[in-house]
Order: sequence, then C-alpha cells, then structure tokens
Amino acid sequence: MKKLNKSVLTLLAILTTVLAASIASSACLWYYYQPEEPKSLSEE
Amino acid sequence: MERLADSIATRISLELNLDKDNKEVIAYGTFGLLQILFSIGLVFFFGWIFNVAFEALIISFTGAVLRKYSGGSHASSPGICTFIGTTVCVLPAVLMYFLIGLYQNMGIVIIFGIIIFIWSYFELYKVAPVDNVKKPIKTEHKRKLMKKNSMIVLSLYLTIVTFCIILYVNTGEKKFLVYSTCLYAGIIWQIFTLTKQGHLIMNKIDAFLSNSLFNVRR
Repeated sequence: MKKLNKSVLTLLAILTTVLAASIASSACLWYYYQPEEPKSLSEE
Repeated sequence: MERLADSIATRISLELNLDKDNKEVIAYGTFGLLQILFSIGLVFFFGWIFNVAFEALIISFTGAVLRKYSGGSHASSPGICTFIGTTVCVLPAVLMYFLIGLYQNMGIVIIFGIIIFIWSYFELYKVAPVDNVKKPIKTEHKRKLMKKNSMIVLSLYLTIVTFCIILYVNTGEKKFLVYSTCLYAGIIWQIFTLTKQGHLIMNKIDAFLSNSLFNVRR
C-alpha cells in the first residue's frame, strides 16, 4: 500500500513539474491570475 | 487554493525527500493544475445550467490559449480571476446563442469577423506580449517568440472560423455560426485585456470585486 502511495505521489510530482515548466514558458497561467513564479523556473 | 497546493507539495516533497526548489516547483504546478481544472469546471457547470456548455468552453479555450502567448492584465486573486473568467465565458455564450437564434445572418458574422481579426492582428503586432510584475518576460528573444506564437494562434482561429462558415454554407446549421461568434467573443475579450483601456477596466472590476464579493482581510 505504501509502495502504491509513493508511486502515485511520484506520478503527481512528475505531472505537476511538467505543468509548472509549461506554465513558465508561457505568458500566464490560464485566465487572469498569475502566482509568483519559483526562482528556479524563472529565466536569467 | 494556494494553501491547498502548498500542503500537497509539502506532502509530496516529504514523502519523496525533495529539496526546497523542487517543492516550490511542485506547489506552482499543483496550483496551476487546480486553478485550470476549477476554472474549466465552473465554466462547464454554469454553461450547462444555461444550456450553452460547449459554447462557453469554446470561448474559455479560445481566450486562454491566446492568452498563454499574448499575456494581458491580471486579477489580484485566484477567486476574482475565476469569477471574471466564468462570467466572460458564460454570458457571451448565452448572448451569441440568443442573437444567432434571432438573426441568422452569415453576412453580418463575416463582416464582424473581418473587423475583429484586423483589429486583433493590429493589437497583437503593436503590444503583445503583455507581461506582468509577477512574471516578467526578460529576454527580447522570448518576446519575439511569444508575439510570433500569438499570431500563429490567431491565424489558427481564423482558419477555424472560415471552416465553420464553409460548414454553415453547406449544411445551413446555425450552430456553426454560433461557434464562429463564440470564437470572436473569446478573441475580443482577450485582445481587449492587452490594451490600456482593458487594463483600466480590469483594474476597476478587480477593485470592485476585492471590496465587495471577495473582501479578503489582508
């Protein structure tokens, strides 16, 4: 059960990281709100 | 929603032994995922209530995809963002459905289309992409790439509208005119938020909602 839980969390971590990278490469998130972007994602 | 995203990210990073940078990225992605799903869900729900779910989703996706490359004015909180987003998708969808039902006139739809697309290309060329303080576009290369992608997206919309009008000519089904006008509605509002007047109106709506419906204690 714990192994399954870890697999689900890993999958979620991958999904959200890919989504975060995708949002970082665009002008805004979806509609009209833009949260503070993490420093590690912002371009130099 | 930001707190929920943070707690999910904390749980994931603790379980997977991730560092602070990774946790921030996961929190950012989780917030994005929740905000997108919540926004689409609300547009679908209210669209379904007014029997225009598909039309409202067309407006929603048209504006959101163009916005990803062209940017625009922003709301001060996720709640206000969702409220404005849902309103500008569902109300025009109801209006377009009603108007096309009353005046099924292809000529007017084409004339409006020509005006809207000329204005949109002009505004995109002139001002896009419009960034904001929380997510500034720092390099000229990225700015040019975003402008180019905005133009490509708008051209894609032009192709879809043309295709819908051809389908209307061949089938006579009014739904294709409704879809075309829904694309117009999504484009008009998104392009409007790029302009100075759009920023002014959005700021006023935002201030009004902050002080009334979303009166958050800071």
